Amino acid sequence: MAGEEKPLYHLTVHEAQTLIRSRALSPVELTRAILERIEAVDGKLHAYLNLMADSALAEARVAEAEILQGRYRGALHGIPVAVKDQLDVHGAPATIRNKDSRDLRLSEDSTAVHKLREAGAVMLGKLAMSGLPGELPDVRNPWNLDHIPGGSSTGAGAAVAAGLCLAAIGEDTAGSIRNPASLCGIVGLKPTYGRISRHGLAPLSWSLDHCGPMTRVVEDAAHVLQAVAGYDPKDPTSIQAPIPEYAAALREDVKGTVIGIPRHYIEECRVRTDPEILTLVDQAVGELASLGARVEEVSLPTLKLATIANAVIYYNEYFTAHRSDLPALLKTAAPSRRARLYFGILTSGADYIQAQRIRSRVRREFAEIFRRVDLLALPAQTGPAPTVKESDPLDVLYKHVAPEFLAPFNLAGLPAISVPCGFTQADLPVALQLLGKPFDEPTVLQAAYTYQQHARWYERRPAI
Amino acid sequence: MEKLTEQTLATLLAQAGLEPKEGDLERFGELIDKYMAALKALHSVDLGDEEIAPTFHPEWGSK
Repeated sequence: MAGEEKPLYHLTVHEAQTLIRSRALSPVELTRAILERIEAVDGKLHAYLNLMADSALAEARVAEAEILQGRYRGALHGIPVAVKDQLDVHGAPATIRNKDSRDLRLSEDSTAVHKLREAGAVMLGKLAMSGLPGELPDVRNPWNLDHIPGGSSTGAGAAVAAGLCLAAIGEDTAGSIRNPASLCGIVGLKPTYGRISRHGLAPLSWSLDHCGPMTRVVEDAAHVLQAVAGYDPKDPTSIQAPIPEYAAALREDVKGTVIGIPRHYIEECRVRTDPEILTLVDQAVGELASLGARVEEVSLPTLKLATIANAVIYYNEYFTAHRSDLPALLKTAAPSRRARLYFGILTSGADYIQAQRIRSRVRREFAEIFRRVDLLALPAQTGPAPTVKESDPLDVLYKHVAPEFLAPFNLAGLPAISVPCGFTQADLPVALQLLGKPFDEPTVLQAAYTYQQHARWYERRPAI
Repeated sequence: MEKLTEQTLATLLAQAGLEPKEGDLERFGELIDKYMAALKALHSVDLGDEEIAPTFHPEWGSK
């Protein structure tokens, strides 16, 4: 008999892999359950752009056969997953790359998708994202359908929270994994820049784009990272750093972990931040302290310029990446994309160089701070999920031009995780953000896991 | 949008042979003004001899 009391679609990867490995759960049964779930609720959420149901079931049957033959590949074997549209998937259109037609079928998986398949994952399809061309329905937040899920990995946030896949890969250039993760009450990990290959990822900004897992719980993010991390000769920015045993090494322990809080910077952002967010994040940090972490205040004087520096680099690289398509894009691209192109054309070479110099300075300040601390803790959002009605596609760009909590860690390429830390009075999710040293995902994951196991916010699920 | 910025944007677009989508300059005006103000702030800090850090890894293709 497969599963526990909860529906199969609410299993975590960690739970499902235990059942699959012991042959108590068939990947086919699990995939069917997810597909039924998608059919039941995605009409309200609009998380999926392209559902690949037939191929997913075929892959699930292959996984089942392999497992029955004793050829178990690992934690993701037989696990239904999906990816943000930005990642290429063989046989699926790439709407983000669309010039004229959404029927463009790409022939090669992105490296991250290839690695998921190598790990035996079942590819359910491609998920919606912000800023796509054309008239697409708004993705909705599973916690409250009147609200947005955050972006730009909109579909991934909604799908994972609602049980429409067990894990997703999103992408983060200025917060696009952590923002929807925090607004949807799930875990979002932006790893160190270069940890996961960007080959086959439609570029927004070459030096700021990060792929990363979006999952219900921290241990699932560790499983996904394990599968997709690593050097890729097709991505010259990917790094040949050793890949630790992310999931196997997870344990509940923050004793002696030093957590730095840049209070001056949080004060800088306070005027734009909902007080409920700050209260809940403070409480979460306090809980980590009660579990043995040492919390101290840190100073990062140049951090207040990091968000705009990130934006300058982003928009210039975006403009350059799409230079040949500009005449068409200025007619057809979504408003938020067109705005970025105007920013790009207005930004001079000197502005870009200055942004890179600020990047150097910010990196040095982080390096100095991380001699004393193991992690930094900050909010992952400035407010709860807004309603669809009060949202505008340009909202995110207003955030890019003033200090905020997400983009600085794209600029510095540091690993950053968003982990649920509570709910507002209006029952909307709030998250804590933890940041670490380059390639120290183990410390980031462990602290997030310890907090998660203590606070147990993952036990709440949206009622949809 | 600030007049000078609007003129600059129009000139740059024209130089590049591009046309803004109708209504964009009005729609994005306030946002563009905020962006331009933030660019000024970017240059307000004295970075001394701070150099641009390498943004590539010299070991491309060598391993």
